[in-house]
Amino acid sequence: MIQKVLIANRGEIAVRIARTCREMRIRTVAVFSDIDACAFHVEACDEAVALGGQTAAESYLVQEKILDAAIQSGAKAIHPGYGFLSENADFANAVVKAGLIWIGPPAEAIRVMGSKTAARRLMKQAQVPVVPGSDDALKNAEEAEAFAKDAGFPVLLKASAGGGGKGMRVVRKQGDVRGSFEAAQREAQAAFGNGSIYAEKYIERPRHIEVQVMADQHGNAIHLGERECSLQRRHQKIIEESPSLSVTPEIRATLGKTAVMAAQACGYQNAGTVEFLMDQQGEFYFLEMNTRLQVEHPVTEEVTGLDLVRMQLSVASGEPLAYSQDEIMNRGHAIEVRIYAEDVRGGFLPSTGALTRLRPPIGPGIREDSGLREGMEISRFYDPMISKLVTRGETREAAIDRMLRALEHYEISGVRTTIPICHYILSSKEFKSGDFHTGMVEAVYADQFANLEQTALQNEELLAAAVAKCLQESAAFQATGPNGHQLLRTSLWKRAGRDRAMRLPHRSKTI
Amino acid sequence: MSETFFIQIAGREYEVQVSSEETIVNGKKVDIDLLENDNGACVFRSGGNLHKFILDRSEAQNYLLCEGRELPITVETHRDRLLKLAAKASDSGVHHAEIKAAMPGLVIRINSKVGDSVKKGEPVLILEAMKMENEVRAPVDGVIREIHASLRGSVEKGDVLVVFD
Repeated sequence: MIQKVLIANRGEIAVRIARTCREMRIRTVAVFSDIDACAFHVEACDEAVALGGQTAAESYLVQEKILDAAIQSGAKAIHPGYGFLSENADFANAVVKAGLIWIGPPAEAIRVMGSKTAARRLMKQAQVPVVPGSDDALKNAEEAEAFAKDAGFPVLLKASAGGGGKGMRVVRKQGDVRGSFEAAQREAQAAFGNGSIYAEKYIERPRHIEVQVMADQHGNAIHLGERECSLQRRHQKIIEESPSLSVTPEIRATLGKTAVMAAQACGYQNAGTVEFLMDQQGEFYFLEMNTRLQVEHPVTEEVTGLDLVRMQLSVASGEPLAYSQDEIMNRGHAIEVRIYAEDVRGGFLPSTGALTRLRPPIGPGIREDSGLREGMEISRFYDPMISKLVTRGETREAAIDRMLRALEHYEISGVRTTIPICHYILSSKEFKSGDFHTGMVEAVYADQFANLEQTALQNEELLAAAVAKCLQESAAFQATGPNGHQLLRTSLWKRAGRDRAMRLPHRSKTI
Repeated sequence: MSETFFIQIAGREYEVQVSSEETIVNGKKVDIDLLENDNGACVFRSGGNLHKFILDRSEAQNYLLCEGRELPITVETHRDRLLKLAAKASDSGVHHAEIKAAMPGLVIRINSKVGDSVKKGEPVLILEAMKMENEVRAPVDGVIREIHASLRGSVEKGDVLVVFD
């Protein structure tokens, strides 16, 4: 087994990987930018190496710096997490060339799957169904217009090197093609250093279903069931669950088999995710393969009982998969909600600032993966995700009930978050009945949610009164200063009176 | 001695009088006992029921967080209100709609110029933040009076970018 791992990432995923390493008694090395010197992920590791720089481009994305840090610290392997260099084939190659273990798939698999056009070609050959689209990157806006005329609207423009919704545009009419093409190109160039764009037919009201796969170095590959990630805003997922309500046992079997076929076609090893779009008729099409651990992997961990990072480390050490396909037993239901620092009122714009309060919910069946702690800052330099909240239940209903409770008990202040809209979505009848699609958040929920403000809170009058009382008390505190603190202490007599008022009814019941 | 507060929750106003003896909302006496106030995270009792809320005052706009919901809240004391009324009386009465940067970012496109008339919802400029392009739309129908953003210029959260007539 690997003895020491460098985690080439930050935030919650670096913390999450460090935790499993610790459990396996594998030493961990953190890397950090100037901004992250006191970050949570640095504390979570056994050693830390400074990268310098502020932005990702000056720190976490500099391959030489990461390799130097690994060699300098004596790490034997690099775990890239997700984002940053995780899907960079050149980097995977450089790691192996430096005599280190790359905890991820072979560089060649990353390269093929990282190019959407090459991946499509390979998948077509491997008999994996794909969405109709342009087989090569579009040279210019005219080609985009020609494709749209051919395939019919709506059409989706996507960055070849892309992911995470960056460099992606839905175009619904001829007049918009040029503007959207140029915007997508600019975004792709800025985000990935590669502005090439391709087009495909846009499937209306599709569901986003993805399959977790795991493959070892000995030719064994299994799938760990699906995740439904249909609830997205700006093409970025916010709520994921497993299993999917729209996947029947028959579809699941074919879907799983197809995902394993896709992985084997590119000589895959380690953890990966094959994403599919499923139309209203239950037909599914290969969308892309994410050649890394995904943000939403905890959902699969909660229903399979497996630790995917542990599996990644064993597979990367050369061990065969410990389980065969028949031994994978998914049980119960799990839901993940991504808590982003975003202002939903402002159209999901990032909300930056210090987390003046951060108290995650606890209790049975709740898991919280976060890379931040109270008092820390959400900076404009990195992703605005605060945490991933995951609940598990014996049924979907139980998992939803649990998530609603968890969201109600999640205490965050200092920035605006996606908690209220996720709470609203999870309590909606559409979510409960499973009748949703990938455009739902913007199309339906965002509007309804805006109107929700017209509805008063329960006991709003009482809340207003309590707010006034609370402000009066703080004002009194400020007026009297720190030495006047005693004045605010509730008298023991008053406290005794409260206790009596609260407890007596219960006591009389139990006696 | 009692103090009067005007509390607006998403525009719904409540007039609250607080003294050490009693709390009165919109003329009605309520039973409220504040049990805990940890930096805005409060627990209070009313009758046999316990309630919790968080009052987030870390930004210019305050928010009330309760039961998984989040509502904008404004608080004025009696004195604040009198000052505001006095200010209004002396004001010329002209107010201009404006666009403020909702986040720090980089201006990568400006679609309109001073003097242009735009419709509500029309994208006026594009702000790049966290590697995403965000269209900033006109909040009202109107004519652009001032633009305080320059192409490729970076802006801070709260900066006034566009003022309408």
